[in-house]
Amino acid sequence: MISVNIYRYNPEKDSFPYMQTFEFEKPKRDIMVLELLNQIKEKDPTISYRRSCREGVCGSDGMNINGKNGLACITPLSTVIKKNKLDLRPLPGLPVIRDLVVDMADFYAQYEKIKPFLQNDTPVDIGERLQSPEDRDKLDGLYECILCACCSTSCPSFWWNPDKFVGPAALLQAYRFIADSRDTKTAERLQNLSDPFSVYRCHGIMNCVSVCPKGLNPNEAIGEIKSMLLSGKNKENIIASDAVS
Amino acid sequence: MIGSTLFYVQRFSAVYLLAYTFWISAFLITNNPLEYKTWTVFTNQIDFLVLTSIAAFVSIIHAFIGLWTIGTDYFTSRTLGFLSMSFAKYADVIRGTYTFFFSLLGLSITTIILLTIWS
Repeated sequence: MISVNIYRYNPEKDSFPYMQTFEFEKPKRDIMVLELLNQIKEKDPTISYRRSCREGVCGSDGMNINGKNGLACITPLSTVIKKNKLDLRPLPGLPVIRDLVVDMADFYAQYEKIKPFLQNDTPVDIGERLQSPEDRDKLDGLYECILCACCSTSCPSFWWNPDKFVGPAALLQAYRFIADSRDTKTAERLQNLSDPFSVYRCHGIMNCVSVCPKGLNPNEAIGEIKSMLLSGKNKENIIASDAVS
Repeated sequence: MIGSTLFYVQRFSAVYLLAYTFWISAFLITNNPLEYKTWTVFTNQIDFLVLTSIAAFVSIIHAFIGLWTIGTDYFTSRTLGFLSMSFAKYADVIRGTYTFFFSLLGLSITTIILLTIWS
């Protein structure tokens, strides 16, 4: 038998959150945590959690699984279960709407702040903005983020200052556009991150790297942003100095 | 801009304090066993007085940035709200008191160091 403890909280009924335990026969084959949750929901339809694609693409079912954030749909039960016990909690640091569903407003506000779209004032030559294969390669490891919020909600700096610290997910996306050879607003993007909170609250504890279900490295991207801020160099003058040399 | 400045100030001050510690340690090791007369001559030299005064200022700046960072992490309405909603209401006052207290403490320690070495 396995015990699955699930964080329950319905603000319309409960004064305080509590953990509810469900006993299950240990599955004969290894299943994903989401599949287990679906089985529990058949027993108790009042349990709330987000899910959609069930294959690690949509990022809906980010949750805290036995103390570590991850996507329930691509986390095999065998890799997280300890002593036949499994604790499922909502992503930490964000307000709980109900059970495992959190309010992502703070997270999306930070994402909006970094202007996650290509900005280029120059006219387009031939209908599209071209990029060399080398420049395209620089975006690998950056564009794959699915915004599941597992990284940002595992970061203590984001817990303490979700309104000021941009957080690893949005900073990864900020660097995705800073590193893009087609984007011409690097200086403005860096300027927007130059206060003591937006980037510098990252102390490099690397929880974000440890939990990212897509195997990305937000800490490295944050390091690149810090280096650019500290050196005063941005993409434009790096390109200019390359042209001179 | 301010973020980068604080970053550099904290790192350079740490490097200065490390170098200062090495310098004092080197003196103590090379003059072992230390005699009162040797120590008095050393501490009356102008380079000791100037470098120690700088160390006093640098350490208060270094400490201020570190403690300000801690204060703005843990003494906010959000963070204090985890303990109690009444604490959360007075977060700005609590943080202000904390900042005032450690600023006063830092200034007092620096003043004592400067008075001790220059008098």
